[in-house]
Formats: sequence, C-alpha cells, structure tokens
Amino acid sequence: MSNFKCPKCPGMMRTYTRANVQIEQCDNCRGIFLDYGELEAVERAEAQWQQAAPAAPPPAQQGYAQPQQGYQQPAGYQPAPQWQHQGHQQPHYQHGHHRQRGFGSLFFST
Amino acid sequence: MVVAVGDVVVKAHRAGDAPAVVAARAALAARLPELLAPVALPGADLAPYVAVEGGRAVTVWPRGVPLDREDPDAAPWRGLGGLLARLHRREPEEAGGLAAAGPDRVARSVEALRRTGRDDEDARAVLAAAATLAPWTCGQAPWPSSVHGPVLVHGDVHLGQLVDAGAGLVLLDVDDLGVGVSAWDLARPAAWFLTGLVGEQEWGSLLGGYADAGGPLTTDPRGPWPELEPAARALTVQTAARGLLGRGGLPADDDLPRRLLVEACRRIAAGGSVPGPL
Repeated sequence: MSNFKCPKCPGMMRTYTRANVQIEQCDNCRGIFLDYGELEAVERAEAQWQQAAPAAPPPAQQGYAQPQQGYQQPAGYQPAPQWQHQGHQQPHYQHGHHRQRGFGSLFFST
Repeated sequence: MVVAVGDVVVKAHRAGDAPAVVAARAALAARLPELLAPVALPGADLAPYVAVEGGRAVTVWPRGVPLDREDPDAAPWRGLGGLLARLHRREPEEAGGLAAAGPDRVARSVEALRRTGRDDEDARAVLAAAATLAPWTCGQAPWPSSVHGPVLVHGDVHLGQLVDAGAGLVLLDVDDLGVGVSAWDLARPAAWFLTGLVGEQEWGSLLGGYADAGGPLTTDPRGPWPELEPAARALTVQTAARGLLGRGGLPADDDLPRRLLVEACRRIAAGGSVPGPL
C-alpha cells in the first residue's frame, strides 16, 4: 500500500506493476493513477504483446487496445481517424476524470 | 419547452417547426417501436397527436424514467446501439418523404460563431476545422452515393433522448426524425469517442450492439469509419461552436467537454480535409 489517498474517494492507493510499469490503483473504487509517460509505456507493451501473439487481430490504431467487450473490429476495417483523442500527456486519473466530469455533456443536443 | 404534468410531459415545439410536420413525425413515432409513442389527444387541432397553441405545435408524451446522469457505468451503450440498428433497418418509405434534420444545423452553428467576430485561439481552431467539413455534413449538398442511405434516422442522438416508459428503453424526441443517412445517428457518439469524452469500451459496446442487431453501417467491409468520420467531424465542430457560443447545454461548471472539443478541432484543422471520396 502506498501512502497516498485516492483523489476521488476515501480509499487508499495500492501499487501494482503491469508490463514493468508501476501503477497506483485505489483499493476501494478501483480508479487508476498514471504518472507522466506511464500510459504510453503500457500502450507500447500492449502493442508488442499484440504483435507477438499470432492469433491476435492487428491493432486498430497504433498503440490502442481493442475494445475489451462488445465489438471485435474485423480484419479489413479501416482504423479510427487520425484526429482521435490520444490520451493525456499529464498525469491523469482514468476513472474520475473524463467519465464523471464529461458525462453530463452527453445528455444534450446541439 | 417541455413541462412535466403528472405522469405525462407536454412539449411546445419550436416556433419554426410547422405543426403539420410535427404531426407527421409524431404519427411516425407512434408506429415505430424504437421511439416513444405520443399520447393521443382526441379533438385536438391536428388529431390525434398535435394541438396548436399560438401557431406552435404542442404534443403530449408519457413520462418515462430517464438515464441516471450521475452514473456513467450504468449507461446502456449496447442498448442504444441496438435501438439505432433496428430503426435503421426499417423501411424508409414509412417516413412518407419526411427528411431528417441535422446537417443544416451544423452550418447554422458555425455561421453563428463566425458572426460574433471572435478571433481568439479557440474560435480560430473551430472555424479552421469547419473549413474542412465535407459539404454533405453541413447542409451544403445532398449526401453522396458512397454514403449509406436512405434510412430512417432519429437525427439528434444523445443520452438525454433515452427513456424507459414501461416497455424497455426507447428513443424520444421526434423533432429531427425522418429519412437520412445511418452515419448521422452514430456520429455524435463517435464524436464523443474521438474527442475523448467517452472511452474505447463505451464506444465498442455501442458499435457491438449496433452490429449484433444488424445495423447497416457496420456491414461495410471497410468498417464504419469511412462514412462515420465526416459526420463525426461535423458534429464535433458544431458542438464546439455551440460550446463557445455558450449554448448547447454544455455544463457551465465543467469546462472539460468544451476544452476537449476545441482540442479535437485543433487536431482536425491540423489534419486538413476529409480524405478519400467523401
């Protein structure tokens, strides 16, 4: 257990190592904190894993994971456009950040 | 304007919406299981669904249970994909020639931003992105033959349009309902995904629900993006323009959506015009 508190809930952050990258995860809400460069490191490791796995489909976008559920992009599909959002350069809080804060904006038309 | 009265909701439509057109759209919604059905008003001016007050159409709808705005994890992305797919598979003739609204609203929002004369960095980014839009995505031209249509579309998809009125989740709001292209209904969620407002998993669930229900956009062997990208680009530009104008319902206490939308416009402008035949 690291000694910093989750920025979103009363839980404490616990340190895990994934693909040689240290990741802090809240033991309560499961939110994940990534320091500068860590997301990119995980993405690189994931891309290497996908290239190494013979049965895995090609990545839709360099460094981007396939959806975990719902939709396996068939071979031959064109990738998402290059202006796709590519994550943050700054430390970011994956659970609380975009999903909670931006969610209200998905309820309005233009 | 929408007012809840007991177990129904009364909607006064925009002054510019001709009551006869609202009546046709309401009657269409009554026939479509994917749409919330209006409440019949026997004896109304444009019976069975539309009363006219001061020249405006007024309709009445059952009051359903909306989605929880505080709970992103509960958002029914797969269900929304399935609803849209089933709507898109209906015979477009059911619309009786009604055209969906949508692309013309993009042009109006961009024009409104231009008229303000704003010349700050954000406004310049949005206007530069607007200059790259394909003509069919902003009401300047009919959709090209390479775009899948005509299909029945809702025309104004967002999470506030989903409601459960007792028989499962349906879409509400008929103001833009009609014949259009399938890409338009998926374009706003796609714009959310491309700007970073929703994640890969939410977008994947929506597209999975759409594909599993046989939605026409995902049957293209190239996948949905060649058609979806130009429309998602237009809705990103429009939503960003409305955000800068202080309209469009973006939350006042949360600057993140506006910032993400303007950043997406910067990336669009840097990338230039839509590649390919679209």
